[in-house]
Amino acid sequence: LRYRDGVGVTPSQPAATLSKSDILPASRHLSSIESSLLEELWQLCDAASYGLTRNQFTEIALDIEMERNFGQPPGTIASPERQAIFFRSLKLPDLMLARACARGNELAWRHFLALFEQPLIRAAIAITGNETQGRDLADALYAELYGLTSREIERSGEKDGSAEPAEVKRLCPLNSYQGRGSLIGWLRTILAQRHVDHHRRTWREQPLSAFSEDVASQFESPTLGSSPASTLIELNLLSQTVEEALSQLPAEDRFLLASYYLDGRTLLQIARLLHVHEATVSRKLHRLTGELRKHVLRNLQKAGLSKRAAQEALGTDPRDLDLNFKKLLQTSPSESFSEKAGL
Amino acid sequence: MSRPNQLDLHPDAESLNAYIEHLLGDEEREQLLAHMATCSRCRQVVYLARGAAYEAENSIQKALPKKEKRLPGNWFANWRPIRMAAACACVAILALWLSLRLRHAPIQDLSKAATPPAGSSATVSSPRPAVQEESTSHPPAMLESSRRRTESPHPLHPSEALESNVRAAQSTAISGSTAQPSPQPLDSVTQTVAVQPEGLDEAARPASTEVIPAQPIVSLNQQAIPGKNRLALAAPSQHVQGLMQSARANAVVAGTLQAQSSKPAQPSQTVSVTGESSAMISNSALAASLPSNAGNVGIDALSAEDLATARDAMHAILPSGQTPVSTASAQQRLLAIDNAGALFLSNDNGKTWELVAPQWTGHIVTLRAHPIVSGVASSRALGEQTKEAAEPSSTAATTGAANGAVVRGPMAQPAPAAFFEIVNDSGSIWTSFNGKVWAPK
Repeated sequence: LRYRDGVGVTPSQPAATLSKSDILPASRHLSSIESSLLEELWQLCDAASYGLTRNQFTEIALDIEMERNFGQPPGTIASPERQAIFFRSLKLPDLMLARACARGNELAWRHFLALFEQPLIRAAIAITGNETQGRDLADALYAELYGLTSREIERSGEKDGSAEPAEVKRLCPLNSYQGRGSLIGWLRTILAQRHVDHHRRTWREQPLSAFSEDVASQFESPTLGSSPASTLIELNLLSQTVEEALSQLPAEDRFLLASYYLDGRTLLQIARLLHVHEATVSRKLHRLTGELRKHVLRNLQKAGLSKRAAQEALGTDPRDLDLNFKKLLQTSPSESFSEKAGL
Repeated sequence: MSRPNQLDLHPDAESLNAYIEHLLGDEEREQLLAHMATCSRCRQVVYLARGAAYEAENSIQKALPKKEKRLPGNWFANWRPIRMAAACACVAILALWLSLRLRHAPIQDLSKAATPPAGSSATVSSPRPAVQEESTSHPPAMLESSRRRTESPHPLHPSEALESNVRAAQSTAISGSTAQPSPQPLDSVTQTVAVQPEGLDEAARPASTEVIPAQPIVSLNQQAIPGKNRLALAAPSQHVQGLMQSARANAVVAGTLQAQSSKPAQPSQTVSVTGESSAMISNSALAASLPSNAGNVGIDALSAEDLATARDAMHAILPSGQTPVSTASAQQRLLAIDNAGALFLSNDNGKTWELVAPQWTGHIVTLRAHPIVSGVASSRALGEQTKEAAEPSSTAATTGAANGAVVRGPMAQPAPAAFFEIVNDSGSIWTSFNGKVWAPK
C-alpha cells in the first residue's frame, strides 16, 4: 500500500519495515536485556491487565530494542545502565499497549478502546470543529488502526492457514508509534494530519474559476508599471534587503512570523504551542518586527541611500515590492528539515 | 527524529507529537522549527493537535478545584505564610485589646460615676491616678488566678472552688492595696474589689461575681460530666444567688450522670466504635450504621473492611476540595465521586487520591461496588466482560476466532473478586474491575 502526499491512511507515517526475517529468535536476545530491568518494566507496564503474557512482553521489548538499539548507533553494545535509561525515557506502558494491539491482542484492543475511545472522539471534534465530522474522523482512524490488522490477518490466514505476526506488524499504523510522547498525543497528531491532508486535498479540488480575476487583481502592483527608474532601483534594493533580513532570522523567529502573519494564528494559540504567556509572544513579535525594520534601514543606508530616503523606502506600499513573503519565509536558505534528515 | 517517508518529506507524527509535548532536544527542535517555518501543513497539524490537547487538559482541569493563581510579578502574594502569620498576629492583638478593654470598661464607668462634682476637683484629682493605677494592676492578677483555676488538672469540690475564688479575690485586693503607697481615700470601685479576708458576707460577694460564679459549676462538671453536657450545665448559673441553687442542682445531675456512667454501656447508646470492636461488627450491623446516603455505598455482601472503608471515605476531602457524594470500595481500591461528577481512585484507603480520566459520557451520579459471585454476577452485571475476566483463556480464544485475530497463550491474570459500576445522569452504566478503565455496560 502506497499513498501519495496528503492522501490516504498514513501519509507521513513511515510504515514499519521489519519483516519476519529481520526478527531474530527471542532466545538469542533474551540475554541482551537485563532480567531485573525486564521485571521492572513488566511491573511498570501492568501489561497483564490486558492479557499480555510475560513472553509476549519480552518479545515486544526485544523488538523495540532491535529497532532502536537502545538509542545508540547500530553495532554499539549498550550497557545495562544505558538500557535502563533508554526504556525509562519511553512511554513504555503506552508503547506496550500499542504493540499489543498491533499484534492483534483482542483484550489489548478492548483496553485501548476503554482508554482512548472517548478522548479520541473529543480530540477529533476539537480538531474538526464539528461533531459529525469529528466522529467520522475518529471512526475512520479507528477503522484503520483496527480494521487493517484484522483484514490482513484474514487474508494471510486464507493463503496459508496461519496468521503471521510479522505481516500484521507491517501494516498496523500503531507499529509506527515509538513511545517518545504519549499515545493519546500521537493519536491526536495523527488525527490532525488526517484532517489537514483531507482539507488540503479537497481544497485543491476546487475549480480555478472560483478564484476570480477581480480578487487576483487586488494583489497586483498599482504603480509598478509607471514608476520612474530611480524608484525601481530603490524597490529592488528594498526587496533584497528584506529578503536578506528575513533569511538571517533564527528558525523559531521565522516560525513565529509565519504563524502570526501568514497563518493568522492568534497570540493565544502560539503561546499555547510554545508554552509561554501570550504577552511574551506579543513582545517577541514586537521586538522581531522592530529589529527587522532596523536591519532593513541599516542595510539600505549601507547600500547608498540616505537615512531619509531609506525611511521613505520603508513607507513603500508592500504591493510595489517584488517580494512574495510567503515564498520567502517558506524557502529559507537555512538548512531545512529534509536536508538535515539526510534526504 | 525518525526518518520520514520517501514519499513525504514531512516529519512523522512521533516527532510532531514530541515537539508538542516538549520532549525534543534542542538540536532536533531547531530542525523541526526550521521545517515548520517553511511548511504550512505541519504548522497546521501542530496547532490543531495542540488545540485538541488543550481542550482535553481543560476538561480535566474543570473537574479539579481551581487553585489560586500566583502571578510571577506579584511577589507579595507568594509570601503566603508571612501574610497568614501577620493576619493571625493582628487578630490576636485585637482580641487581647478587646478583652482588656471589656474587662476595664465597667470599672472605668463606675469610677466615672464615683467622680466627685466639679467643685471639688482639687481634692479629688490626687486619688484618681491611684485608682487608675490600681485598676490597671488588677486584671493581670485576676487573669492569672482565673487561668490557674481553669487550668487546674484536679477537679475541685464546690466548697473548695468557692474558697479558692474568694482567696483569689482577696489576693487581688491585697495586691491592689499594696500597690498603693499611701492610705489615700479609695473610691467606690476600690472598695468593692477589696474584699476583707473574712468578709464572706453578702456585701462582699457581688464584688467577686465578675470572676467567680461559673467556677464551682465548672469544677463539678470537670469532675462528673464529660463532653458537651459540661457546657449545657455550666450555662445557667450567672448570679450569686442562683449560684448555690445551681450548684445543688448540678450536684444532683452529676450524681445521676455518674450513676449512669457507672452502668454498663448499652449497645443502642454507643456513639463511637473503635479498635477491635469495629472489626467484630457484622455486615448487617455496619450497613445499618451507615449514614442516610448509605444507599450509594455498595453493600452487596462485600467484606466488612470494604464497607467500613467506603463509609469512612464519605467524610474524606477529595482533591476537588469536596466531600464525596458516593463511595465504593473493593479489593483495597476505594472510589469516590464528588458533586461535579469527577471520579477519584485511592489505593491506600483514602490517603491519596488520583483523578480517573473520564471514559464515560454525562455526569456520574452513582457509584457501586459488586462482588463477583460465580455464575451470578456475570449475568447480572458484566456479561461477557466478567466471563472473560473469570475465564480468560477460553473466552479470549473464542473472541479471537470470531474476529479473526490472534491471541496467543493463556493469560495469567487472576479473576477479580469484585467490580465497580458507575451510573450517569441518563442512567447509562459503566463497569470496571480496577477503577481506572471503564467500559460501558
